[in-house]
Amino acid sequence: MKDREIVRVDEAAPIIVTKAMIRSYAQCVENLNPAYLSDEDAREAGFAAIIAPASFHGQYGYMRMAVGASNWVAKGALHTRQHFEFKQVVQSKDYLYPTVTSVRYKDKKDRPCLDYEVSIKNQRGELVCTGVMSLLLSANS
Amino acid sequence: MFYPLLKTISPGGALVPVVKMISQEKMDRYGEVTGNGGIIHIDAEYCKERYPHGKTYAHGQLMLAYMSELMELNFGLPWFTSGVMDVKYIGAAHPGDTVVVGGEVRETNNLPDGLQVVCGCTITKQDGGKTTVGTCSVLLPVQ
Repeated sequence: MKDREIVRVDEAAPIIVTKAMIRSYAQCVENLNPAYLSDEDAREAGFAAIIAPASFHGQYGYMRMAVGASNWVAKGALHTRQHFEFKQVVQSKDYLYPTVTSVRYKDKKDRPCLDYEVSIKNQRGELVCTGVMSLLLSANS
Repeated sequence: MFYPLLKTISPGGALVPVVKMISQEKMDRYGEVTGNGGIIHIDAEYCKERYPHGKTYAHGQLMLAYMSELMELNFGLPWFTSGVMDVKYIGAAHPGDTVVVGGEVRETNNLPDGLQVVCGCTITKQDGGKTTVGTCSVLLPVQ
């Protein structure tokens, strides 16, 4: 890996987490813990309201942020690697503020690559999640 | 609501696995909800024309969600606040496939804040082919 070049840094529009978003995400990944679906069950688990699966902010938010903020995913790019670090539980009514840094570099085989480095904070300024999505670009990118 | 399934944590111990069936309907729904609607995930005609197997590809991120669920089920809430996952996509799953999301404890480390558990995780299809491999770790607070 060599010559990492920051292409751009974007602050995406905040995502306001709603119960409907959490429920539809939980249903589409078939992770049906009641704490994702019902306030009552979430309260029983010690939370004020419905919480999101850990992968929710890593993904729901992530894809929208990475693609939405940077506004480009090169055609023909191959998603090769993913890294996530989860720091905080996300609940309905949370605000998620993402920052996306797009970094270009060449891998060991001299192929063009792109990393989306995302960090997400909540309305209290707490770091919720960080992640890196690595893409292998087509040769002419 | 969060009852960690893994009761004994020691290197070599297997995680309780998660099994999922992949269908085009599920992939369409996932793409719709997350905004990850790449053509290779949703357009069967496109894939039929371009790929020898002629099938759409399940989202890598969907595999990742399954792996996250594996860790959540085995370790409970600490996964939400200390989970780290590093995965590599090495193969594809297609509609009609069944995937088993499994793993084992590779090592445990006593840290000042608790017990760090490092797991090797793999997603394997019904034919034995692997789609995703990775390392997931979680920090379990001292009881």
